Amino acid sequence: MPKNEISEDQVKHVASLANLSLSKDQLPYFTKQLGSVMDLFETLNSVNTDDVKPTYSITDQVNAMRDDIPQNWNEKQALLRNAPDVKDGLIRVPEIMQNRKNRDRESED
Amino acid sequence: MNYLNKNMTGVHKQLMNGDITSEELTKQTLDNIKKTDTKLNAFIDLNDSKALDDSKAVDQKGIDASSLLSGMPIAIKDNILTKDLKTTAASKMLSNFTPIFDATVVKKLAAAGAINVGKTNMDEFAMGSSTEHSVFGPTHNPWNLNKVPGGSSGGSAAAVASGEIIAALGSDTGGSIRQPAAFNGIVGMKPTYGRVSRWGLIAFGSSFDQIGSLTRNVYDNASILNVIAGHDKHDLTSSDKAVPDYTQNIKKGVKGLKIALPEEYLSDGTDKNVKDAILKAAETYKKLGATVEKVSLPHTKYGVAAYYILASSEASSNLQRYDGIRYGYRSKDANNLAELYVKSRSEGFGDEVKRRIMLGTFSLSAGAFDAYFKKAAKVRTLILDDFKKVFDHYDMIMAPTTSTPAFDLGSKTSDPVSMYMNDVLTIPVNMAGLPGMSIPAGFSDGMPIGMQLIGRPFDEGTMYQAGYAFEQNTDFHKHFPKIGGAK
Amino acid sequence: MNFITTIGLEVHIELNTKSKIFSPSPDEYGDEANNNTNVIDWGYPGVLPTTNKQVVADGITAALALHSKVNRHPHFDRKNYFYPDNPKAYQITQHDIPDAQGGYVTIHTGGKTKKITLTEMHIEEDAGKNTHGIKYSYVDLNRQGAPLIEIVSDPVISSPQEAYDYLETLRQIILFSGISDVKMEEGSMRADVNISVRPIGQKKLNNRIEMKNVNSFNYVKRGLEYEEKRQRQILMAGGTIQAQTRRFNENTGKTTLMRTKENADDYRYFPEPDLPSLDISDEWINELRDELPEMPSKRKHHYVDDLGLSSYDANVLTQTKQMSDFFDQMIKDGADAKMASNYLQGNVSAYLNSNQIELKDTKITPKNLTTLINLVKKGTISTKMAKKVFKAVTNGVEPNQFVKKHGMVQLSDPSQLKPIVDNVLTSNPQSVDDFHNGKDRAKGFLVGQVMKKTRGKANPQMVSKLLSEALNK
Ligand SMILES: [Mg+2]
Ligand SMILES: [Zn+2]
Repeated sequence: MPKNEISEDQVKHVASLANLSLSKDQLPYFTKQLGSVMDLFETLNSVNTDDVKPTYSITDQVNAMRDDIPQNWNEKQALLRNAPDVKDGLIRVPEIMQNRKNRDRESED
Repeated sequence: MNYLNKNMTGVHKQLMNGDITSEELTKQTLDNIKKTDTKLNAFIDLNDSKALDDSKAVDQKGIDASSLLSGMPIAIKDNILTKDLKTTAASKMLSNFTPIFDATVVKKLAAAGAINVGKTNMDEFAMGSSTEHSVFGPTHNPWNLNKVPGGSSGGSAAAVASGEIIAALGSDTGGSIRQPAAFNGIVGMKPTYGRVSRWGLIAFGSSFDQIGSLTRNVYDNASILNVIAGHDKHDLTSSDKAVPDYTQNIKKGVKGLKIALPEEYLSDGTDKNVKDAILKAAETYKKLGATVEKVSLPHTKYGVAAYYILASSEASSNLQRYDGIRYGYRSKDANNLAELYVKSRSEGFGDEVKRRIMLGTFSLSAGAFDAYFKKAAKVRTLILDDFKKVFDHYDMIMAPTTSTPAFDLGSKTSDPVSMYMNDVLTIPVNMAGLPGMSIPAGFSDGMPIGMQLIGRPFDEGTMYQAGYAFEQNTDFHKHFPKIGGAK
Repeated sequence: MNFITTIGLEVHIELNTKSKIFSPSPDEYGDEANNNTNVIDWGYPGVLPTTNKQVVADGITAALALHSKVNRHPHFDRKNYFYPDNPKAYQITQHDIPDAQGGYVTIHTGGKTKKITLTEMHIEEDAGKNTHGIKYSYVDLNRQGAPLIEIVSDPVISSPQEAYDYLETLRQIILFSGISDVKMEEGSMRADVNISVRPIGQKKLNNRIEMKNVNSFNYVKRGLEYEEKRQRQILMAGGTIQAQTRRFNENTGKTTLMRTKENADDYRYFPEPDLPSLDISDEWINELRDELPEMPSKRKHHYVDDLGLSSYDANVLTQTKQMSDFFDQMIKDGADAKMASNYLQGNVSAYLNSNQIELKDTKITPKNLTTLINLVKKGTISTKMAKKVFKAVTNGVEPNQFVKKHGMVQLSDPSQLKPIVDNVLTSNPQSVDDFHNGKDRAKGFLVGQVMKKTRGKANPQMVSKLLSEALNK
C-alpha cells in the first residue's frame, strides 16, 4: 500500500496542466500507479543533500553559441504540407476566442 | 541473408571482392527481415524501395575501401528522424509523421555509404524497458519469443540478435541500448553524453539522451561510433573534443588495466547466475593481466528515483509540443482549441507516456520543484561524485548490465515500479553522462547475460579495448538464438 | 481619502539582430506568413536550439547602458504553457539567473529628477502571432524566436505620467545603445503594467492589477490613469481590490477584466537542458563597454555645458542616436554648434519629414553639411544661395564644387561692389533725395537695385554698409 498517497484531485490537476484527460476508470488506475512511484521518489528524502549543488546538465561544453548569420532553410512548403490544417500559408486551429479558458489568455512573453 | 555468423569486416570484404553487390545484399536482407519479422516484430517500417535505390547507387559508385559501412545495410531506431521515411517513435501521436530532414547520425551513416533498410520498434517515445509500450505491438525476444527483448531499443536489439541486420542504431536515456543488448546477447554502446549529436533524435530526457549502436561484436560497434561521433553545430551540447579512431587500439588487450567492481551492483537484488557470470568475467580479466578490485558507489540505489524525476520532468516538457497543431495526430472531434489539445494528446499518447508526463509535470509544478526536481538534481551530483572518486583510481568499471535476464512478456506492464527498477544498474551511467557498454557475458536458462563496462567521460576507446579482449577470450557471442524456441 | 499609486513595468524590447535567438532563421518583420521559419521555429521533433551570440552580447550591452550588474553565469530556463503561437509549448527565457540584475533609469518628470530602479533584465524568445477569424484562428510563426530583452522595473513609479516618462527615457537609452530600433509601430517595444493603489498611511500594498502587452506609451498612460481612478473609487466605496489581469481597450479608454489571479498559471520553470552553460568573461564585458555609445543624458550635458546650446536644442538633437551622432560628427568636422543645430532642426528635419525618410537613408553627410554651413558663415554664399546648395547636398553633391560650378560665389569685396553702388546712386537721384528727406524705404530700393545689377550675387550686408557710407557722406 503506498505510504505517500497522491490524491485523485492532485492527479486530475497534474493531468490538466499537461492537457491530458483521464476517464472515470483511468483516474483511480493512474492515481494508484503514480502513488507507488511517488513512494519510490520519497526514498530520496533519506539522502542528505545539504550543501550539494544540483546538476542539471552534463555537457562538457561552455559558451557554445552561434554567430548572428541569418539563414533561410526554405522549409516553409514542407512544413505546411505536414500540418493537419492550413490556409493561405497559415496554420489553422479552431477559434481560440471561443473557449473561455483560452479567451482569457494572451500570448505570454 | 542472415547475419548470425557475420561481422562487418567480413561482409565488407565480400562487397569489395564483388562476391555480392550491395543491391543483392540489401534485397536479401529485406527478404529475410520480412520472413523473420513475422515472429519478432522488430521493425515498424521497411525502407524497401529507397534502400534498393541507395544500394544501387553505392554499387555504381563502387564500394569504398576506406569505409567499412559502404554498401552495408543497417537499421535505425524509429525515434531517429529519417527524411521522407515515416518516423513514429512507436506512438499513435506520430504514426503519420514524415520528417523533412535527416538526423545528423543518419546523414553521417549515409555519407559513409550505409544503407538504411528500415526503422526498428521501440517503447513509445523510448519510455520503457520492454518494447511492450509500442502502438505497433511488442517486439519478441529471439532467444525466447515469450520473453521481452528489453527496451526501449528492443526492436534494434532483436533485429541484430536474430541476424536480421548486422547493426542498428538505438538511443539510451536510462539504459535503452545496454539493457536490450544484454537481454539479446549482443553488444550495445551508449557513448558519453555529447559524443554523438542529438539533432534529429526525438527528445525524451534531453540531459540523458544519447544515440549509440547495437552490433554483433565489439569491433563493429567501434567502427560505427567512428562514423557517428563528433561535434555538430546543430547540437550545442555535443562535444568539440576530437574523435579518435576507436578501432586503432582495440586489440591492445587489458594488461595493466585497473578495473573497479562496484559491490552495489552485485547486491542481493542481482540474480545469482548474473552475479556468477560477472565474477567469472572478473577472473577472465585478471587472467588477461588486468587488476579487478571491489569499490563502492554508495548512491547507486537512489539513481532510479532521481532519474525518474529528472527524465520524466524533461520529458513532460519535451512532449508538450505534440498538440495536434503543426504536425502529427490531431483528434477528429475537437470543437474548440482546448478540446484540440486535450483530445489530441489523450488519444495520441499511450499509458506509459501519460504516466511519465504526469510524473514530470508533478515534479516541476509549483510547490514540488524543490522537493522533487531540485532534490533529484542534487542526488545526481552525488552519483556523479561517486563515479569521479572511483575514476581517480581506476580506468574502468565492470558490472552486470541488468540484475536479471529477460523477463516474460506482460509480466511487468501493470507494475511501473518493478518495470522502472529494471534499469537500476544502467541509470547511474546516464545520470553521470558516462559511456556504458553491454557485452555478452553468459547465459541463464538459455537467456543471455550482459556485462556492463563503464568508462571515464570520452574514454570509449578503453572500453572497446577491454570489451574486445573479453570477447576474444570467451565464446558467448558465438551462441545464436533459434528463433521460435529456446536454444 | 488620499492615495498612493505604485506602478511597476515589465518592458519587452525586440532586438535588431539578423537572425533569431535560437534558430538561424532571418529575424525580419513584415514578410509573408511563415516565410522566415524552419523546423526549429515550428518546434519539430528532434530539433535543438542554438544560442545567437549577438543576443547575449546585446543583453550585456543593455545591462551596461542601464547600470545593471551583469551576471557571469546566466542560464536559460523553460517556461511551460500551451498556446498555438508557442510551438514547443515552452518559451526559452531566463528565470532563475537572468542576464543582469539591478540598475536604474534617471528620468526628468514634473520638473524633478528621479531614479527608477530596476529589478532585473533577461533575454528570451518571442512567440508567433495568432490572428482570430470566425470559427478559426490562424498561426504565423515568423515572429516565433525573435530575440527579446525584458526589462523589469522595481515598483517605484508613482504616477501614470512618471510611467510615460520612464518609457520615453528607456526607449531613448535603448535606441542609443544600438541594440534595437525600437519601432513602436512594429510592436518592438511592449509593456506589461502593474498598478496598485492604497490610502496614504497604509503600509501594506493592496493587490495589484496587471495589464499585458500594451504597445503604445499613450495607452500605458491612459490605461494607468483609468486604473488609478477605478481603484480609488473602489477603495473610497469601502471595497477591496482583487488581483486581476485586465485589458486596456484603446477605443473606450477603459480596462476590462481578463481573468482573476486565483487560477494563476503554473509555468513549471526548469533549466533548459539543451543549452550549455555560459561563462561571461571580463574581457567580453569590457569589449562591449568600450563599444557602448555615449548615452543621451551625457550628450545633452555636453551640448549645453561645452557647446553652449540651449537645453531645448540639446533635447531635440538627442531624440535619436542618428541625429546626435550626425551632429557630433559635424562638430568634429568644424561646424559651428549653434548653426549646425539650427540646420539640423530646420532644413534637415523639414527635408526628412517631407520625404518621410530617416537621416541614415539620405545622401546628406556631416562633412558636406559642415562645408555648407561654413560657406554661409564666411559669407561666401548667401542664405538664399544656401537653399540651393542644400538641395545639392541632399543629392550627395559637395558644396564647394557646386558653388564653383554654378558661379554662386557671393560678391562681398568692397572694391568690386563700390563702383556698382556709385553707379546705382548716380542713376537714381530721386531715391537719394527721398533718403535724405527721411524716407528710409528708399535705401531698400537702392539695395535692390544693386542686387539686380549683380544678379543676386552681392552680399546684401556689404551693399547696405557701402550704401550707408555713401549716403551719409
Ligand atoms: Mg519573462
Ligand atoms: Zn517576457
